[in-house]
Amino acid sequence: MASDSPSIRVDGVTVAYRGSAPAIEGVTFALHGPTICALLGMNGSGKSTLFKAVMGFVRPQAGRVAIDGRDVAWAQRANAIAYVPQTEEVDWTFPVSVRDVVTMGRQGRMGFLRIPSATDRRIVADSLARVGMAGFAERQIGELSGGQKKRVFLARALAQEARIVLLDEPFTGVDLRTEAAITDILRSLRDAGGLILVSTHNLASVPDFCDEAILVNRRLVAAGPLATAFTPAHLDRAFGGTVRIATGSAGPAEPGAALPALAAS
Amino acid sequence: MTPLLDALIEPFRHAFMLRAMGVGAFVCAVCAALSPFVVLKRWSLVGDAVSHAVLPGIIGAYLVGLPMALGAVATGTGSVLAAGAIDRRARVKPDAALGIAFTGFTAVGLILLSKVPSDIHFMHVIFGNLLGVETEDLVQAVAVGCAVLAGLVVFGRDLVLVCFDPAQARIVGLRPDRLEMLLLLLVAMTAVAALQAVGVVLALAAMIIPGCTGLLAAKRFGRVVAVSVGAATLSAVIGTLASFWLDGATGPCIVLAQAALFGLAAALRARRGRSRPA
Repeated sequence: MASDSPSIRVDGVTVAYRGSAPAIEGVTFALHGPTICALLGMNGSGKSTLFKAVMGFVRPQAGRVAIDGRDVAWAQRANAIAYVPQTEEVDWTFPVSVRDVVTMGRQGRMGFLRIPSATDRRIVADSLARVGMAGFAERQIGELSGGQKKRVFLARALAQEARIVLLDEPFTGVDLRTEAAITDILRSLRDAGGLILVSTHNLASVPDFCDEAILVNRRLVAAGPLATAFTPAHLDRAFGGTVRIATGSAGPAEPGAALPALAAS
Repeated sequence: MTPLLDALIEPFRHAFMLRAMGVGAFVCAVCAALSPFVVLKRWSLVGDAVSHAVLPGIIGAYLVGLPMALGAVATGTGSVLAAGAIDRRARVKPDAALGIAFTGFTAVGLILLSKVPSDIHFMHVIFGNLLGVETEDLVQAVAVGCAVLAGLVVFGRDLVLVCFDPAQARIVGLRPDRLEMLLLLLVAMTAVAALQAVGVVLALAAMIIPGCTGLLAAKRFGRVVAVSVGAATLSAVIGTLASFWLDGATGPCIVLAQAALFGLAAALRARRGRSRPA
């Protein structure tokens, strides 16, 4: 049974870019679906690099990454991981429609000429409906609001039908309704056995929908169930004492004392 | 018959004019089909580099008796690969590395040009020679053009994904590195075809302007390509006719027609933007 659930195993991984100090160093953790795991850390803490290592976009100088017990090249060929990028990384003037973008989730599974089959088209339509964007299929992607843009790329990940989904800051710049819609979909993916890894700055929402947390500050600070990993002491180490109570009245911050109102800067 | 009508019909009475319009339209259409990919990939400078760096390959191939297109593709892609090597090994920004590599290749070509005893043939490579295109060159341009179109039919959708979102391409198992090499190869082959119409100096225009026109006029990739090809074909015909009437160089006339159509598309879009309530 365990072998049938999706898994990410990161074992002593160090990644350094040309001419720089390591972005991440000796990071080790293991995740098994079904779970929703938050990836937490400051800007420059190595979250993006960790994502790239898991997806096989960077080659670690040390350690190894295993997806479902196999290597990252297999994971790419097998479409094992879906990725929802940050909105800032997308060229919104590109001449593609919402439907075109969601269809890109199917591209690795299509035949030689990459012509969508009836099944591909049905899955694309279902994915659009699931994120509430069915009425926007023919829009050029630049003609969408911030929340709609996030939904489209989530739909693309759904269309890929991967058991592992990585989301890079899915909640930045979205309204509460979209945030709720996204977390609902992540829960349903988890309940279907999926492994969801979400990088986020929004610490307040973590206890709402996450089962586990990984905290990084170039090195691993903590990894595991919320009860053991998402603690004031770990947050303090991951965020270097910058965690404070956003709505607090006065006095020094007490990390963890009022978790739902926490914000990291 | 009125003199005006006579002057309009005159070019169509000459076989060389019909041939020039046909070859020009085909070659420009091939460039235009690739153009949106080059523009969206932000490869304008790559296109310029490749189209200039074909020069030593063409003359080198002539010297050793190989097909011109083969040498052209070899040095055209070689310049970009050399730039990549400079970028990786030296502390030079990618655009500067490309500038170093392709001007170096072009310089070699210009030296060969001045040393190799030859007829006027190579001047045609630099400036294009649509009105006097020889059968051998025509066959070569058509063959290369058809190969480019075939490449786009088979790999077009993957190339769109690589231009739009290389990370997604990779995560669904495509190979962005190989697809970029393919795109580079297609650019080099297109440059070879473009030489026939507009020459080394203006080849970039044929690879860039139609795609920009298409991007101004359409919001879906397929339509962008359609507008691009349509504008380029029309420009080839108008430009060739204009060069006949003006008794001027054909290549620059075609490029000017492409620029004029781009200007028209830009003006129409600006007007549409103004008339639409904000």
